Amino acid sequence: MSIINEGLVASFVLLVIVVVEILIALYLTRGGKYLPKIRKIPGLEAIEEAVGRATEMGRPIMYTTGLGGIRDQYYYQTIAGLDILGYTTELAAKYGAKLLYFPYDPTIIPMAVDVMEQAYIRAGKPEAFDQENIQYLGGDQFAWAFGVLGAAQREQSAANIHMGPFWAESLILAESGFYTGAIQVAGTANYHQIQFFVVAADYALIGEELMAAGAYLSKDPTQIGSLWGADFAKIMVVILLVVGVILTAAGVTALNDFFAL
Amino acid sequence: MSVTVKRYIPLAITFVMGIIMVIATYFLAEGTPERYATTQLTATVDIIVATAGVIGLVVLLRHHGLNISRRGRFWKYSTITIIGVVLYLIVGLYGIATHEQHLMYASELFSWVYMNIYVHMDMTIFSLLAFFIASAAYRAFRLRSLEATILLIVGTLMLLGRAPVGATLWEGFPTIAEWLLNVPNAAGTRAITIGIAIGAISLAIRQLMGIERGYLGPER
Repeated sequence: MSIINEGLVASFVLLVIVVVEILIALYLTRGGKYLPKIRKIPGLEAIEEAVGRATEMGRPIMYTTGLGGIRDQYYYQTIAGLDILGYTTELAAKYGAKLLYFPYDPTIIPMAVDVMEQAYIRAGKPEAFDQENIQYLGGDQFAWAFGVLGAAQREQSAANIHMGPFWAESLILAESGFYTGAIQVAGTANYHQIQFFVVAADYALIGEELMAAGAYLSKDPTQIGSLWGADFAKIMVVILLVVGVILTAAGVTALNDFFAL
Repeated sequence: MSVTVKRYIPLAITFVMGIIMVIATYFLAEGTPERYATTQLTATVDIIVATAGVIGLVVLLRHHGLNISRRGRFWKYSTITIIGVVLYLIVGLYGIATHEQHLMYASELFSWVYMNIYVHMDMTIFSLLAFFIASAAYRAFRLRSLEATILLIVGTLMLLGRAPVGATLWEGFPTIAEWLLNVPNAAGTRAITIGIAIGAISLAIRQLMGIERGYLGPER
């Protein structure tokens, strides 16, 4: 009898391999000993452009982290959204632009307060931090979406940034933002909503780019190392796919049997 | 607040809870007392959520209250918001106060307001999505680039394959639509899903090890 729960053996083995690959990459890049080259992510590079535009126009930046909270399986997208919120707030603080943040789930309000306060401290303007820029609109999907939409219309925001888990409200937010003339940067790992952001926003982060944002923006070699390790994991998955196709075509079921464990 | 309280304790809690959940998922069988104990840990999240609901209410009332007192922009909307929140709160509390069964009781008036006012407004907003889809599709389908052209062709084939008129025109349209959905679309979706899963593991490792801590408070 296996000590690992039935049906999860292959999953556990793969998880261990991926974790080991990432840990090795973290070790190799620790302290900047080796700095892997990572490709540019246009969506993240565009945030500075969006903040700059808002500053020039004297209009606010609207930021949301989607329908995310800390209580569901989508929390990792919310955390990634908060990482980008910190970066965006720091830029806004440096340039003197106003950033309005609209949390959906009240559980992230205390975290957002901390993230934004930290960003203002990093920018050297702790006194400019105003908690009133975090506006809670309610915890219902469409009430929240139209609250954000209404605020964007009233404030005539120059830049809208949406980073986190989104569902049906994604297109409502992105399309209405287009009509207000705001530059829009959006990202989600909910693959069924990515196409709406790709179509309606100026820049879109696709899937894993959202999770890479924290490491990408930090420029910290160790964090970037974890992206390098994740790339090795992806190479492993591609090899497994190719081998699986060949073996299955040849009538060998060993790999299929392993994944059924 | 000291750095220990503000930073190291949350990191320690994150690490320990993360490891416990991995162990529970892979090594503790369903139905065992140990597995049950770990699921009870998630009850702590419910307590946090309940507390955060109050935070949300306070933040909302403070924001709109200040806007009214300062006669800020659109203060009349703030007044409507506060009246709505307070009235519905009174309706809810009245229902609980006049019912002896349990605290989660929703009175008839409470349900009536929800079903006859809120639900209709919610559905109205949701239905606007159809128009947003049409306008977004119009912009996306314009022939500006190779990608937009491919999108236009695929979108048209999907429409013809899914709408009854397509099969009437040519019986091959539904087959093409099925193939587009099950082969190229599924391949792309799975590639994105695999990337997301590995990206999430990478992010989780950075958080569990305390390497990425941008979501925590100021380091002071």
